[in-house]
Amino acid sequence: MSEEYEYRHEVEDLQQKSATAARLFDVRRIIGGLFAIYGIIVLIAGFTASDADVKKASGININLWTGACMLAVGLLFLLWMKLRPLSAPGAEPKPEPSGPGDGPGAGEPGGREPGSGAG
Amino acid sequence: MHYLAEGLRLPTNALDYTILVLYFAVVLGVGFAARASVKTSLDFFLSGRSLPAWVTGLAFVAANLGALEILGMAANGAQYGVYTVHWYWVGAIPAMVFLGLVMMPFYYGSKVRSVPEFLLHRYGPSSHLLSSIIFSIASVLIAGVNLYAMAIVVEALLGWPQWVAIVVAGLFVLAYITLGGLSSAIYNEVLQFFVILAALIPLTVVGLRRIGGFGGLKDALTDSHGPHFVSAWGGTGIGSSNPLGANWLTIVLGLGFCLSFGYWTTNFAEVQRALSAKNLSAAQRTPLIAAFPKMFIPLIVVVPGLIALVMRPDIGSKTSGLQYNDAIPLLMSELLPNGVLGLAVTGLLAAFMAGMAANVSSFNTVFTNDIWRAYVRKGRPDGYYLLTGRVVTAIGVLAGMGTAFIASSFSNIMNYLQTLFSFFNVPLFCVFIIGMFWKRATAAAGFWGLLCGTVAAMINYFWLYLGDVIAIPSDQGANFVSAIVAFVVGGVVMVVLTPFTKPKPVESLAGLVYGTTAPGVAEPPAPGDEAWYRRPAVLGWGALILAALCYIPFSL
Repeated sequence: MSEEYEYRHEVEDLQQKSATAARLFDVRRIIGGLFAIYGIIVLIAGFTASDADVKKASGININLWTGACMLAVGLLFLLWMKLRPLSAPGAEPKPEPSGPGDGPGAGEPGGREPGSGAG
Repeated sequence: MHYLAEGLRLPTNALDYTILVLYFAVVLGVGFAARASVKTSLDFFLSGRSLPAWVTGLAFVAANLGALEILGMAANGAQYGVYTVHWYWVGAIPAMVFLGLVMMPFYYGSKVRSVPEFLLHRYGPSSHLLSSIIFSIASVLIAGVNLYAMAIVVEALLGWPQWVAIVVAGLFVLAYITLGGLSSAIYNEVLQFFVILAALIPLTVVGLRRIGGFGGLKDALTDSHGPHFVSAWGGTGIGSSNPLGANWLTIVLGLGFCLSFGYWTTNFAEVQRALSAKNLSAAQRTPLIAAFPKMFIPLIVVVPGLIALVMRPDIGSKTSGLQYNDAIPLLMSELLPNGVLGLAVTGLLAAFMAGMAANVSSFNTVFTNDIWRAYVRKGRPDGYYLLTGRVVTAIGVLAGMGTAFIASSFSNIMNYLQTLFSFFNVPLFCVFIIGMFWKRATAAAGFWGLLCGTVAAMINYFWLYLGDVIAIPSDQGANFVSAIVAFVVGGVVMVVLTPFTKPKPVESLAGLVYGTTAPGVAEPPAPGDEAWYRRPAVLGWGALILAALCYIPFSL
């Protein structure tokens, strides 16, 4: 019996030592940041759109609309991150302190799990 | 697919390239930032089984939303019309729900690290090795075909030479997966999912406006192609003919059951995303959360295909020089001004890279854990396998790049090989489902079921269909029938062989077969998981009902 389940203990062990939960940064920062920047760039293109641009897009100033929506989505992600920061799952503290710089937001105590409901 | 028309060069400018370069920089940044989180091989291959469900769920849908899928489904829309929605509502949602509700407890609960590893514990080394090797070869090959397809699209749209596109995209994927492992693959997939939405939604909106909205679209297509073209089931009676070359029975059984369940429930590139979730509930919710966006993707993929057909009725004909695969690039060049155009190009490139990254990140896991560690170098310390994973990633990407260069001279062979490998998932699903519900099913039955089912599908496709022994009107129809053949033959072989071969001892099957539980403590549910909207059953049945409702507007 023991041999059959050896791999499960190994996975459990590795899961204990795993650093992902504690040190992986929050993806919402990347999505939020990139969409906010893209939103601003495209929004500027919308403000400076020529008549030819608008005509090409069937009479819609599509840069303006897309830019505004992307900026809004980006800011919503950043807001979501502020309201529900990541928390490291499991009660036991990880052996290593969190790495310098690249783990912002990770490992902060308290707060609920980031919304894991339906998207 | 293959050669895009010369006239599709996009009028890109510095603004568009700024958007594109920014994306490449972020992709690489994600790889560097994720590097700090990789301490063990489990971090590298499965993100330490620690990601939240919404991240793995979006990655699950994005791993499938590669550029080949996007261009291909838009092409199917232009060629077959509204029938294309079957690939989503019959051909994906039920299988995703089944994976989440029925199969995930066995996969995640048994703590296997890959789909082939489940075969090892449930059946034994022979089926394990067979499926690991085929999966590894198929992954590298598909990564290469993906790269090659990207090179053609990029050459047509941006004017880059093919080798530049292959080398640049290949090296970026190599860098970010070698650095950050599955975590950076998954994070980039989530990012790609949103970027592709930002690219395709404006395209669809502008296109619909151009041709007079959904009403104008429907009227124009009914006039030019008849009423069946805009209905999901019209003309699919057995014996009646339609462009898809399939009837309702082969659609439901072949596409909806065999092909789709084979793909979604046993393709490790997909299942891996769910195995990286932080607990069983999150793993179950991964495909269920993915089902909701998947259901609405036809709106921004198939609809543009139909729009392209209305704007250019000669698409797909020899005289126009435009192929069905050009539908989305055509709309991009005709409808999008600079700015949004850059977003669309970025989205397309992002989808190509994410599709390839999904293949590479599942390949390195299967090759390292299921071939190298299981049969070549056993019992080394964990750090050794982490390093092996990184080396194998690099080798896999380089092999994919090599395949892409080969594909540029032998693209027909590549198409056949892809069809060939697509037949492997169906008997695999058959073996899994029998193994999960029938304790008696033996190791020998598993291996021979897998092998015979695959061979039967190939015989049906390559000999009976391509050799004109039986008459099926189209490639797609033949695919559906071959899938049914694979499933039935695999199942029959298993049922016949099992009584004559030695079963595995029952105690070695705990947690792998229905009605047994794995020893050891069950993981405690995370706080908040009991909320009604996070219950897998609610999400799963909700997705099924919603998918059925989606059919109503196209069936009346």
